[in-house]
Amino acid sequence: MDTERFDELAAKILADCASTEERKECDQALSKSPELKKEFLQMEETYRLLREQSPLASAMNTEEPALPEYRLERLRSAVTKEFRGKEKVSGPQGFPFWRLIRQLTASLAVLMIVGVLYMYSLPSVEIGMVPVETTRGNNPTSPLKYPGVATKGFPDENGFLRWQNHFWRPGLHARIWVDEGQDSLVILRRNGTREEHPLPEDPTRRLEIIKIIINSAQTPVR
Amino acid sequence: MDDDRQWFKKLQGGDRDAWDEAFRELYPCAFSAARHPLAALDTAEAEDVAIETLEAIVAKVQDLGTKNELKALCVTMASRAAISRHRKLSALKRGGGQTESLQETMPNGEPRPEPADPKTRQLAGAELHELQRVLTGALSELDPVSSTLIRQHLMDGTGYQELAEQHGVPLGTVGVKLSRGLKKIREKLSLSPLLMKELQEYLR
Repeated sequence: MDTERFDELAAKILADCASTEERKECDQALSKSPELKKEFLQMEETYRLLREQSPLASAMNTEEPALPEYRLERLRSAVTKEFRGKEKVSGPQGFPFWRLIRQLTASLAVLMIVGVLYMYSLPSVEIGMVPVETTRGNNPTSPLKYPGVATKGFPDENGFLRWQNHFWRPGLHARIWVDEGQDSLVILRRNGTREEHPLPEDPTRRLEIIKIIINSAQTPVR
Repeated sequence: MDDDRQWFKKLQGGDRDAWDEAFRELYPCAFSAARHPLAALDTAEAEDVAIETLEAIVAKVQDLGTKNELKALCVTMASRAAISRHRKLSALKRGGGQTESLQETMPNGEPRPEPADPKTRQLAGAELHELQRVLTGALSELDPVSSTLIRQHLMDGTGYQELAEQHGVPLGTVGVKLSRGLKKIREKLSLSPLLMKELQEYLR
C-alpha cells in the first residue's frame, strides 16, 4: 500500500467514516507491516489527544463571547452563598487577633446587658435597718413584708451610714429608713432629694402611712 | 505576577469585584469548552453549561493557586459537563429514558472496566497552554488548507464529508491532508517530551 492510500484510509478510519472494505484493506496492510501499524497507532493516539484536548487548549485563550449580564446576578449569589460567614477580617495584626478582640467585645457587651437587666429586676426601693431600737424588728407592721422592697440589715451605725451614700445601682429609686429619734420615715431619692415624713403613734395609721410612702418611692422622681 | 496573586487571594476571600472580573474572564473559556465537538451542544445549552460551571468553580477556588489553574479547571469542568449532558440526551433519545445495566451489555457478563479517575485525567493549565503553543506552531507549518482542515475537524468538530464539500476537494484528499497534519503535530509534540508524557498519561 502506498503512503497516500494509507494516509487516506487511516484518516477515514480515525474519523469513523471508512467503509467495511476500506477497513479490511487497511487491516491487511497493517498486519503485513509492523512499521505501518506503529505509524497508525501513533496517528490514532495523536488523533484522540487532539480531538479531546485541542478544543480545551483553544478555549484557554478565548475572549468571546462576553458573559451575558443578566446571568451575573446568579453567579454573584453563588459567591455570596459560598463565602457567607467565611469573610476574612483583615487587620494590622492578622485575622485571629481581630477575631479574638471582636469576640471579647461581643461577650463583654452581652455580660453588661445581662448585668443591667439583672439590676433592673432587683427591688427599686431599699430599706435600711439598724439594731432593734431603731427598727420595728419582726413587728407585723415591718416594711419587710412589702413586695418590691429590699431590706438591708446593718450591725452598726457605720455600715448604715455607708449604705446611705453607697453607689446607686440602675433600677434603684430610693433608700428608706426609720429615724426613731425624730419618729419619722426618711426617703433618700436617687436624684439626691431627701424627704422626711412624720409617723403617727397609732400603729394602724403608722402602717398605712408607711405603705403610702413606699408606694410613692417606687416611682422614680425626675 | 504579584497582581495575579493578589487578585487570586481576593477571589479566595470572596471579594465581589474580583469575582465579577473572574466570571467575565472565565465565561468565554467555559462557553468555548462547552461547545466541545464531542458534546455537540447548541449555543443555549452551552451557555447553561458554562454558567453552571462558573457557579461550581466558586467552591473550588480554595484548592487552587493561580489564575491559569482556575482557567484549566474551568475548561475541563465545562467540557466534561457538556459531554456528559450530550451523552444523557443521546441516551434519552435512544432509550426513551430507560436504562440497562452496563454489566448486561457486556458479552458473557464480564465486568466492564471502570472509567478513569477524573482527577488523574485532567491536564493542568500550563500543559494546556503548552499544547496550544505546540498546535499553533505545527499548524503554522502546514499549508493553509491542511491547517484549516485540521482546525475545523479536530477543534470545531466539522465532519469529514462536510470538509470535502466546503473546500471543494475529494474525500481522499481530505484524508491525506488530515493524516499529514496529524503526523506533523505528532512530530512537534515529540519535541516536548514532558507534555507528550502527560498527554499519553491522560489517554491511559
